Formats: sequence, structure tokens, C-alpha cells
Amino acid sequence: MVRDVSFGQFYPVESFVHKMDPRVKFLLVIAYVVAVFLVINLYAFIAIFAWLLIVILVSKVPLIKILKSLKSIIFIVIFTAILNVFFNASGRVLWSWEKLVISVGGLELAAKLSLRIFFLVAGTSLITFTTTPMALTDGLESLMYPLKLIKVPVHDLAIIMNIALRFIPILLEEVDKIMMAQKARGAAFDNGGLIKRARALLPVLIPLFVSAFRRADELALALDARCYNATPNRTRYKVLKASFRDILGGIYTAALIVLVLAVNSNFWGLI
Amino acid sequence: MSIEASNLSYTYSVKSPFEKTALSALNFTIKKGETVGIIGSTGSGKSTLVQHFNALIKLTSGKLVVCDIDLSLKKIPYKQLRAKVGMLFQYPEYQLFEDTVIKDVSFGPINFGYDKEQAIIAAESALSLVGVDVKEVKMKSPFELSGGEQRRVAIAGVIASKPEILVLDEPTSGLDPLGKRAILNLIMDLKKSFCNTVIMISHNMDEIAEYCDRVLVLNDGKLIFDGTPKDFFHNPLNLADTGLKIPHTVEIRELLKNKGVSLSSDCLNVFDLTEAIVASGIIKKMEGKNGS
Repeated sequence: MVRDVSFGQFYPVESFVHKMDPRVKFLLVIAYVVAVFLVINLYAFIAIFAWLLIVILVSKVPLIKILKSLKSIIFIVIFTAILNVFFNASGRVLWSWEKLVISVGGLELAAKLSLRIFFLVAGTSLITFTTTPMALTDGLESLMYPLKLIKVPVHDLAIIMNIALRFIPILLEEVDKIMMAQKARGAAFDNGGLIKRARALLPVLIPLFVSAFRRADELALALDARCYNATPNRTRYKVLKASFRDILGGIYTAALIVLVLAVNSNFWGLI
Repeated sequence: MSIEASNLSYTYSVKSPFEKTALSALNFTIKKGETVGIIGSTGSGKSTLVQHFNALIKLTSGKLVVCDIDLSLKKIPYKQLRAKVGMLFQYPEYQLFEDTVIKDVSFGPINFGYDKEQAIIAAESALSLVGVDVKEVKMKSPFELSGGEQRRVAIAGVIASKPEILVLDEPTSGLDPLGKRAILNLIMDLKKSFCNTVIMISHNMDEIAEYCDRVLVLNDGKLIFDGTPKDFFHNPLNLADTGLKIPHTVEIRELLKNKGVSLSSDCLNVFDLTEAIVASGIIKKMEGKNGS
């Protein structure tokens, strides 16, 4: 079912992570991404894994949900891994045939890249699992505030993003409905070759586009009717506020970066 | 026997925070030739129930037999089933997609294995059945038509393959009063020709009272009433907690009763109501008063 697409869907439970300030979560995810890229020594991934696992446990999002969101990138990971294994020759050669070489360096690089992609997606999907789209765009807007000084329409960008995010589930539901209606008329979506399958999607895509445009029209009218943009400085219903949770989260993530750097340099020769 | 359900239950999003029981242990049979109204407040499980009838939602627990096809089996002959059970969704005009009306209407028949010529013949006869000018409209794009015409064309798309059972999910929503009447009369005409069994979801109690000879009432996924509209609407206890309201005809009868005029209970449509009022002799009495 289309409804089961899980990438970036808010998971409604109350937890420490859910209650954190979206701005802080954003910055911490960026810090986490930096940490993932800082890894040189493969062992540092253990630290990343432990950090992520604890965050997942604290967030109360079921592990299976996160794993499901990783399913969609398996192909990319395998593809990059294979390329790196066969076309990257460095270190001791284990096996070779014509131009294909499997070497220790290649294997290491492939492992590093695949793990990196996995951890990137798992970590970043966690923010959308624990933050409502509304809070997410509010946070983004607030973070992009300095750009206002150079006349970037930050608020408009935020509302565009907000609308786009808001409409993903609505359009998914719409796809579901249209698919059902066409199935009831005997359409089949899951058999035949690639071209046949692509053609079979036409009866879904055309009504979907038509309805997306209709919705956009109606939404524009509704925004106008409520005098959207008539007042330059809108106030907020929910004001973002950082709390002790955010400080704790910050310390926790800083610890991760230090740990990764430490593992990279073999604990600066201290151990 | 057209549809036979026993212990039919369904739960959405099992094992997630969105888990919701949509249907719980329904038992009923719908015979060939019946016009059945399914009513209940929003979220009572009406749409989920009818989507089971042509296996758009897979049966998960209980038993359901539709047109002698057992839906609890692993392999359901989907095409055969869906050709027999036509399903018209809410706002069916939103599913139009082809560049010409005739192509859109013949989409169903072609999927059900008609060859091209047969499909076009079926589509043309369906279009004339729903009352659009076939010659005028068939080469037009469905998106150029008016709302009412689009709905007719969409209905034609569903009935082109001559289903035995026609399931309608709020067929009249969003139409003007005349359009509503026209669509309902059209459905009753279809019932006389090939769609012998009609199952209709509606929020309009007047339509249900007038057109259906049986109602299934759902509340929170449970079947709380199964019988004639007369029995249902004339007992105010039935309506408690369902979020439903009595049809206007019954309301007028109640109001008259409060004023001391009792009518026979058989007045679910305007014609019968008028007859009942005349039969009660109240008009004669009033004329007599005026005369004296």
C-alpha cells in the first residue's frame, strides 16, 4: 500500500527527542552529519552506531520504522559498494581479473561509503520522525533569519516548504483513492514488463496532476481570502524555546564528535 | 445470493499508533434485486465495507462471498469479480484521464477483456444509457465537459462492462438538486436493466428513505440495524448515538402528530406522504371550517 511509505513521516509519540527544539535538532543533525563524514578509522562507526541507537531508543520510534526507511536506499548502497570494491585498487590485492581488482583498500573504502550512506539516512530520517512538518519549517525559518538581511524571502520559502510537506500525505491518500477507482475498472498495476507498468500508471498520474492543480488553485484562493501576507511581521502561535533537553542533546552530540576524532587519531596516542 | 458476509472485521494500520478498528464482526446477506442503503456517520466504516465487495481491500478476517466468489481464498479472480461488481467512488469525475470520452469509458471493458470494437460498442451504449449526447461528446476531452456531464461519463465508465452489482459511494454529493434527482433516477433505470443489485452509501436520508428497500446502519464499525427504512426511521430510539437524522417526510409526520394529526406510517417519500395526509381527512376538515 502507498500509505506504508515511511520516509520522513512524523511518528506521533511523546519523547525526549520529540520535545526538543526543532532548531536545535536541525543543528545537531548537521553536527551528526559532520561526525559521519569525519570518520576515517572504521572503528569510529561503532561510536556513531551507539550514538544513533541511543537516540532512537530515547525517541521511542520503533527500530523497524527506521529500518524500513533504509530499505529504499539499499540499491544505491549496493551499487556504490560494488563500484568501489572492483575499481578501487589500493593496499594488498586479494583477487584480480583483467581490470577488476579486489583489494584491501577497496573493501575498506566500500565498507566506509556504505556505512556512511546508511548512517546519514538513518540519522536524518530520525528528525522527520520526531518533528512535525510544521515545527520543522518553523525551525528552518528561524535558522535562516539572518538571510533576511540580504533580502531573501525567508518566510515565503518556509511557507512553500511547509505546504509541500503538508501535501505529501494528502497526495498519497489521493493516489490511493485514484488507484482504487481505476482498479475497480479493471486496471492492474503489478504485472507486465517495465513499459507496460509505466503505461499502467497513466490513469493514476493524470487525475493526480489535475487534482494537484485544482488543490493549488483552491489553496491560493484560501490564502488570499484570509489576507495572507497583508501584515509584514506575523507573530506565532507556538513560540520556539530552547530548554535543558537541548543543552543535554548538544553535549551528547559534542561528545560524539570528540569521540570520533579520538578514534580517528587512535586517542592521540594516549592509549 | 449476491453478497454474503459473516464475521467480517477489518483493522487499519495494525500494530502502529494509527491502529483503528474499522469494521467489527459484521453479519449480513444481500440478495439479488435489492436496493440497499448503507448509512452511518463519518468514520463509521461504510466506505471500508463497500471496498471489500470487490476486493479493493483484502479480506483479513471473517468470510465474504460475492457473486459466488469466495474472497477468503488466497487467489481471487480479481478481474472476474470486478467486472461483476461495479464500484462508483465519491466524486467519480476525478478519475477521468483519457484524451477522449469514448476512450475513457471503454477503459473498463478493455481491461475486462473485450476487444476494441466490442469495447467501443459497450462504451457507446453506456454513454447513451447515462443520458449524454453520444455523438456530440464522444470525441471531446472529458476535461471540457461540465461537472454534471463529467459525472455521467464517469458513471458510464463504471457500467460499460455491465456489472451485476452496482456499488455507489455518495453518488449525488456535490451536485445541484436537479442533478441529484437525475442521477438517482438513472440508477433506478440501470437497476431495471442489468445492475439488479444496487448498494448505495449516502448521507442524504431523504434519498435513502425514498429509493432503498433496505438499510444497513453502521456505527463505529458495528452493524446496529438491518431492515427496512420504514422500521428504522419510525423508531427514534434507533437513531440515538448514530449521528443520523430522520428524513424530512418522517419529520413532517412527527410534527403533524404533535399537532394531533396521525398518519399511517407508510410515508417515506413525498408522494406517499401526500397520499397519507389526504387520507387522514385533515384537508377536508380544514375546508369544512373555512366554508362555515
